[in-house]
Amino acid sequence: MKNFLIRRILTLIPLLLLISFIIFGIISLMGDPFEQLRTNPRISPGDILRIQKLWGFDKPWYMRYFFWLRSMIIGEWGLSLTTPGKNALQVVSFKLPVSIQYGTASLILELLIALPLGIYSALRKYSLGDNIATGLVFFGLSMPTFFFGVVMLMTFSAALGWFPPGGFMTPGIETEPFLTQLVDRIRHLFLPVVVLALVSAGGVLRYVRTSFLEVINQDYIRTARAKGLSEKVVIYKHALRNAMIPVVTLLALSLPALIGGATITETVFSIPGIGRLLYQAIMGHDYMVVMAVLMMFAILVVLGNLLADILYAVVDPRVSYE
Amino acid sequence: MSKRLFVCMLVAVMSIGILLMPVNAQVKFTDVPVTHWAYEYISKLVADGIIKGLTPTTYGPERNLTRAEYATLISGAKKLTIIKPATPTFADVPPTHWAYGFVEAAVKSGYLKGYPDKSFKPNNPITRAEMAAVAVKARGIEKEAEGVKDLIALANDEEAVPAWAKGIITVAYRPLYQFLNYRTGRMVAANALANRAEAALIIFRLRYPPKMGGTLTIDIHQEPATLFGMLDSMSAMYQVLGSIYDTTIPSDWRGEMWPQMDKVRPTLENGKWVVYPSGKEPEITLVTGKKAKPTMKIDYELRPNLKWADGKLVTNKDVVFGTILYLIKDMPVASTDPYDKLLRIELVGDYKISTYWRKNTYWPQFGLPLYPKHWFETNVFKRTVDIPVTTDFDLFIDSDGSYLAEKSVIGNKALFDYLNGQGNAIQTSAYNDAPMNIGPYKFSKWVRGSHIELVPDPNYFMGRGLFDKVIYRFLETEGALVGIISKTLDMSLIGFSDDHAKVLRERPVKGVKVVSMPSVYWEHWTINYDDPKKLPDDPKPGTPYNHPLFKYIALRKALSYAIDRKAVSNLVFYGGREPCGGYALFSTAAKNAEVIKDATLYDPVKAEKTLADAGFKKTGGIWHTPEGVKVDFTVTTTVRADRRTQLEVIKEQLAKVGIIMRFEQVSGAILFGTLTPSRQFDIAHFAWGQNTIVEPGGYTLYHSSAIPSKANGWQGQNYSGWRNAEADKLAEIFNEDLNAKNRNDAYFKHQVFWNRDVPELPLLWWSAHTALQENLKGYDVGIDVGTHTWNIMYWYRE
Repeated sequence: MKNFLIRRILTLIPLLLLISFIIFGIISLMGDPFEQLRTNPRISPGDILRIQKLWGFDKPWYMRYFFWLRSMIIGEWGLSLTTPGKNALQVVSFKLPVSIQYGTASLILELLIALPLGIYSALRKYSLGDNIATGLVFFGLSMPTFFFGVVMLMTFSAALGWFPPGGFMTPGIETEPFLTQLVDRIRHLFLPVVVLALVSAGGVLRYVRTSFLEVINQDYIRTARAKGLSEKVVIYKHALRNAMIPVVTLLALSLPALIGGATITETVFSIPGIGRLLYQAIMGHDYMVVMAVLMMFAILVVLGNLLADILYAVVDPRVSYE
Repeated sequence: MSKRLFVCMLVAVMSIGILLMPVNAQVKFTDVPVTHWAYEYISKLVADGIIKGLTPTTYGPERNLTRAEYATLISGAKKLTIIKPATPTFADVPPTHWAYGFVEAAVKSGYLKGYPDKSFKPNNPITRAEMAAVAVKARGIEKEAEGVKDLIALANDEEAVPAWAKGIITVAYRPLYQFLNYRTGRMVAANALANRAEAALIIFRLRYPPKMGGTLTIDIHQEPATLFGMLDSMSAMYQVLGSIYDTTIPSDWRGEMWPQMDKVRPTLENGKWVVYPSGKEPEITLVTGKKAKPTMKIDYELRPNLKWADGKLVTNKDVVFGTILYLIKDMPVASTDPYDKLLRIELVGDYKISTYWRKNTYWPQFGLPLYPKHWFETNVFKRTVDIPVTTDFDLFIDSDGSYLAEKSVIGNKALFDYLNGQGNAIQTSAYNDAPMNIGPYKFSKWVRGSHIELVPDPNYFMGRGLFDKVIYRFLETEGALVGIISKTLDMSLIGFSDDHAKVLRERPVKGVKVVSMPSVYWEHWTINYDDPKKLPDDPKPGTPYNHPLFKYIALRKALSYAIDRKAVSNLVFYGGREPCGGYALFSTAAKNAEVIKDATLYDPVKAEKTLADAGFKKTGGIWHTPEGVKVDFTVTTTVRADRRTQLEVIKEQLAKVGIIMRFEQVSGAILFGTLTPSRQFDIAHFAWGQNTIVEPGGYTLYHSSAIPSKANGWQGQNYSGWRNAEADKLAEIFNEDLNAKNRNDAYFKHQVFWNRDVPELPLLWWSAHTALQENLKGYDVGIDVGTHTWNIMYWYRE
C-alpha cells in the first residue's frame, strides 16, 4: 500500500505539470486583458505597451507559463490582474472558506437525502414510497438551478421573509458572539444548500438504488438470509458495504464540487464562492486567478481519483495494492 | 313634481356638492409637473395647507417672493400663533393688510425685521441670501453660522456672496439643513431674488428637517477589487469612493462642474487659466537644464483647513504627490492626458499651486488628483518624501505621443528615482483595503465577500454624513430584487437588470421606486467607407471613398431609417433602452436635438426612397447599387449574447426593405485588437463610452488624421475612415479650444455633419436602473455616469 501511494503520488507531478501547461495554453487563446485601455482615446499606445510589459505580456505565452510556474512554486500564484495589489493566492483565499462551508454542507445534505432514500427505494422497489422518491429524483434532476433557486428565493425570502436575500452573513454580525454568527450563517446558507443538495441528490440516489438492487439479488445475500440472519444484519453488514463501492467512486470524484461546483447557485444566492470567482476571472482575463482556480480543481480531481482507489481497498476486501 | 324640476334640483344639489368638496390635497399645478425639482416640496406643503397656489391650477414656481409672503410661510412653517395687536408695528402693514397677523408674528419671533423707518416694505422682494438668513434664525442655528470661518458653498459664484451672509450661506448648504438649491451653472445666486419654488424648499426643510442617524444599506452588485481609486475603474468601486473620496473639481450628471476641495474653478474668464498667445510663451528652464515653453498656466487653490479623515491637514503637496503617482514607471496605471502634458508645478503657500503645461488640453478643468502623502510616508515608504517648491516634469514623449516613464525625470532626480522604484510597494499597500481619504463618510471596515462599512467623518468640511453607518453589499441581481422587495436593502445602485426593472415597474411594490436612466455607453455600427482590401495608404479629406456599398452615403442613411430602434429595445431589452441619435448625452449643452430626431427616425418608406433617389435599383426584391452590386453585407461584433439578439432583430427589419445583412461574432480581443485598428470590417457593431459627461470628446474618433492607415502607423480610432474637411475643422475646435462655449458650439455643428455622412450609425443607449425605498431622500442621478453617490452627504431617511 505504501509503495503504491508513493508511486501514484510521484506520477501526479508530471501529470499536473502537463495539465497546467495545457490549461495555460488554452486560456492564452483568450487574448490579452488590455482591450479596455485600447478603446480609451486618452491612453497612448506606448503607455499600453509599458503596462503590458509590467504584466509580462510582451513575452510569448510559453515564456509567461514559466514565469507563472515560478510564482506558483514560490507560493504567490502570480499577481491578479483584476484585483490590484493582490496575488492569486490571496484572491482565492478570500473566497475559499465560504465555498468550502457551502460545498461541504451541500454534500452532507445530499448524502443525507440520497443514501437513506436510495436504500429505501431499493428495498421497497415499485412501492408508493419508491415512486415518490423516484419522482423527487426526476424533479431534482430536471430542475435547472437558476430557475429553482430563484423560485425558492422569491418564495422564502421575498414573499415570506424567512430568509435573507442572499450573501453569507448579515452585515454587522461579525462582531457578535460565535453562536449568533453560526445561526446567522445557517440562515444564509440554508436555501442555497437545499437547492444544490436537492438538485444533485437525484443522481446519487439513483446510483445507490441501482447498486443496492444489484447487490441485494446476489447469491451471498440469499445465503445470508438463508442462514437466518436478521434483515438488519443482512442489509447493513452484507449488502450496504458492497453496494457502496460505486457510490464511493462517485463521491471521491465529486471532491472538486466541495470548493466550487456551483457557479449558478452561487450567483443566484450571491455567495462569494470559487465558482463565481472563476467566472469573473475569466470575464476579466485574469489569467493568474483562472490558473489558480483551475489548478485547484485539477489537483482535487487527481486527488479524488487517488482517494477513490484507496477507498476501494477499504470497502472491497478483494482489492489490494501490493 | 315635474321631471324637469327634479332634474334641475338634482343638478343644483350636485353642483353645491362639488363646490363644498374640500380642496383636494392632490391638487395638480400645471406649472409644477412631477418632473419639477420642487414638486415634492410644493405638493407636500400644499397638502399641509401651508402654501397655496396663485390660482387653483397654477403655483408660479418662478415668480418672485415678497417679504409679506415669506413672513406668512415662516409663520406657517414654525406654527406661530397669529398676532394681531391693536396698533400695528409697521405703518405699511396695517391691520387691513392680508398678511397683518403673519408679519406681526414673524417679527415678534425675531425671524424677520422691519426697517429703521418703521416700515416693513411687505411688497419688496427678498433675495436668496435674505431668505436663508431668516431660515437660519428660524432653525436656531445663528451660532453655527457665526462660527463659520471660511465660506464653503461648493458653487461657482462663491466670491459673489456678500460678507454678511458668509456663515448663513455656508450652513444653508450643510447636509443637516439643505436650505438652498443651486441655480443653473451650480450657482448660489445669493443676491438674486428668491422665487416661490425655492421658498417651498426652505419651508419644507424647516418643517421636515433632514434626519440624522440610521444605517443606509446599498447594494452595488459586485465586490470592488480595490478601494485605491487610481488602480481600477470598476463601477462598484466608484460608488463606494463617492462617499469617502472627494475630488478637487467634480462634475455631476447634468454636466455641471464646481469647486469641491478647490476654492475656485480655474477658467479663462476668472484669469486662473491663462493660455499664452502663440509666439508669446514664456521660456522656463527645467531642473534638468532643458528649456521649455509652456502653452498655458493654471492656478489651483485648495480650500484652507480641510482635513483628511485622520485629522491631518490637506495641503498642496498632497496634490503634487497624487499627480506624480500617475507618472511613475512601475504603476500599472495609464499616464493619461492631462498628466503627460505637465511641465511644472509650483507650490504657493500651503494651498495654492501654479501649473505650467507643455500643450493645450481641457482635461485640467477637472482638477488634479490628490492622495494623502503622509499616509504613504507612514505606511509604505517609512520615510518622508519631500515635495520641493518647484517640481519640474521633464517628460519623455515618444514620436507617437506616448509618455515613457523610464526616460523621464520628475522633480529632483533623487525623489523621482526613489518613487519610480516604489510602484510595487504603493500598489500592493494596505491603501487597497483600507483607504484614508476625505469625504462625508470614512472607511471603517471591509468584510471580504460580504460588505464594506463606512462611518461618518466628523472632520468633513461640510458636516458629517447623515447616516450613522453606510453598508455597501455585493448581492447579485436576484438578491438585489429580493432585498428591495423585502426592504433589507435601501437601494440597489447598479446591476439591476432591464427585466427586473420591468417587473418592478409593472408590478409595483409599495414604498419602492425604480429610476431608469440611460448610461454613457451607446451601441452603434461603425460603417467602413473603404474596401478593407483596398484601404487608401494616406487618407485625407478629398481621398475618394472606395467601399463598393458604403461609399454611398444614401445607403448609410437608408440603413438608419430602416432600423426600428424602439422595437430592438422592446424585443431584446424589455424596452429598457432608449434609442440613441448621437454621441452627445442629452443632458449636455453639446447635444443637437434636431440631429437626434433625424438619427432615430424609423421610416422604412423613406429608407427605400433614399436609395431610389440615389440611383439604387431593386431587382428580385433586393436593392443594388447603381453599379449593380447587391446590398448584402456582414456586421462583425463581439460574442455578447445580447448583440446576437439585437442583430437578429435588425436583420429582419432590413430584410423587409430589401437589404441583406449577415453577422459574425468574434472575441473582443480580435475585434478591438485586430479588426478595427486595421479597418478589416464592413460594419463593426460595438459600444463607445464617454469618460466624462461634460465633454463628448471624439477628436480621435472623427478627425481624418486619426484614420488608422499605413501613413500614420495605424494610429487613431476613426475606424470608419471618415474624412470631411469641415467636420475636421470642428473637431479641431472641440479638441483644442479652451473656451467651453466654443467647444459646445463645435460639437453642436459637428453632429450635423456626422448625421449627414453617417460614419457611425447609432442604435441604443445602454441603460441603468436604480431601485430604492421611497423614504430614502436625496438620490439625484439622471444618467448613469459612474458615481451615483456623488451627493451622498445629502442623503437621509425620512
